[in-house]
Amino acid sequence: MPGLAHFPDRPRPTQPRPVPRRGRVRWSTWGYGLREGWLGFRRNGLMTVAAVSTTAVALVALASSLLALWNLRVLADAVDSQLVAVVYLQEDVGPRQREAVQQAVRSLRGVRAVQMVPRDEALRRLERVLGGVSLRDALRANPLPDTLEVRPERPADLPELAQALRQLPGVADVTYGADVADRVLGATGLVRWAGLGGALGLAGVAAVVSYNALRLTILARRREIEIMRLVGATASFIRWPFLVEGTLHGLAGGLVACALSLGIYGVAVTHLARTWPFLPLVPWDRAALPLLGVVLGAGVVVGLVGSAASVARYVRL
Amino acid sequence: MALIELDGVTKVYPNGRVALRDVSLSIEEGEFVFVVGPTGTGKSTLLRLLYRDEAPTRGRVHVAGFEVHRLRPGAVPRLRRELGVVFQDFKLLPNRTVFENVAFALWAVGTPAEWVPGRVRASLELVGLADRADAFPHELSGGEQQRVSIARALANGPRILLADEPTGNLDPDTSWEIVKLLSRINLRGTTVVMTTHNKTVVDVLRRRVVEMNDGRVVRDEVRGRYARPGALP
Repeated sequence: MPGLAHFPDRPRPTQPRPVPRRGRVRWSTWGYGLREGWLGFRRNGLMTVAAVSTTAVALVALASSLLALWNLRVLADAVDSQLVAVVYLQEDVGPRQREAVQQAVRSLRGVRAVQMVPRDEALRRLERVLGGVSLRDALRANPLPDTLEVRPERPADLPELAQALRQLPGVADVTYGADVADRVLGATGLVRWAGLGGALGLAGVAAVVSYNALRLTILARRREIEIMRLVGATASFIRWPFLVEGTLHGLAGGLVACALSLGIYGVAVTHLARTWPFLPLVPWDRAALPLLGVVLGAGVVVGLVGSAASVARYVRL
Repeated sequence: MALIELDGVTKVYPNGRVALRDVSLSIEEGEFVFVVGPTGTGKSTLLRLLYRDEAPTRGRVHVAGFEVHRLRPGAVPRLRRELGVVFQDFKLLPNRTVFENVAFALWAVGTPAEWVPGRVRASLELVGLADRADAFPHELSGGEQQRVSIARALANGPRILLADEPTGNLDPDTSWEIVKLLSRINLRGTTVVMTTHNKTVVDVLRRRVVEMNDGRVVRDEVRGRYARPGALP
């Protein structure tokens, strides 16, 4: 074998040599990539700090939007389940017609339950809400009409149901908690667009910072890269350490963001629960794990996108 | 098919500079070829096409059975494992020892760890630096550094050694050492292609000389001198 006498263990040159296939990285390669990625992460000092902290800021925005959305969702569900349509009957409706209206309401589609609230009962409730004043003494006659409380099968169908109820004979007016439901839904929309939009924008910034940090690493290691190219290292072998470094940016930023947002959320939940015990909240221990997963995942994606862009731009093969 | 074959190769860089014009060249396994000519006449470009640092604009390039002109990016590493490349500026890693510099090349192509020390030692023995394995590049002379880079180029046992001005940074005596080393490596069967400006080396060794001028091959002699007979020195 010409030229190879001094390498007795080398395969014959005419045989194709084993090249690690794309995507099938050897164990030693993994170890190398992790080690070099970690080294780059530590060596880059200020750039690493910048990349990690911008990622963390973006992910805090993401985490707080998600927590807010989740809580609004829980709140909206709680409000929904309490929503009823209130049917005000006309003044001149007698007991028999009252019964007929109640029957008609019951036969409507989408109605789960109907409860009659006579005008006397309505007045008593009002007195209770106002703190035990005796309205009967102040008013000569009860000004309240008889009402029916209609509980719908699905809260979302309320507007339609109200429309149908208005058509019934003997009905003066129908109201439902439209404004409350609409307000909760409106807040959800606002948080979704402002919060997630902001988080997305900040994630873009974080990816750009990671991209620049990686550019420095690539510059610092350009000799190694050049030699690896020349001796025939595969593309994945050369790129892998840089992707590791980018992923570390994302993971570190994600951990910082989780610590911050979950810490603040823990304090907030404790306080809110004490101040407004009736407020439905997502408990801390139920929120922690899903949030950790989503935020770390998003961090890894941000770091990977930034570093992959940098590698594509600056590592020539 | 010869080991290296160029057929009507033209290389135009993106900035419009024409580095090679319709070059055809054939190099058999085991040859030692000097590529000479003034600076900027396409000698380095010729080598860069061979290890697929650049792709030809037109024409066909065959190296060690690879159709380099239409090689998939994924296959480029396989081509480069058939080649060793040596440069004027050595390209050693300054913060790694001689041993590690050579081992780096082996390990970058996934050589099993248990094979690495033996191969590195064999390579260093070949270039006569086995006793300097633990030195850092800055502790070595220029000639020794070039020998380390040759050892690294040979570590994977390539069939072809490409040397781009390997003596460009070295004094005459040291240059001779390097050329004698390359010659010895050639005698063991490795094909050597070396670009050079060193007239003495070419004239004494009397090997095949390919002269280039303005991107063309203007002379190809089997046992040539640096300059054309009768040309002005």
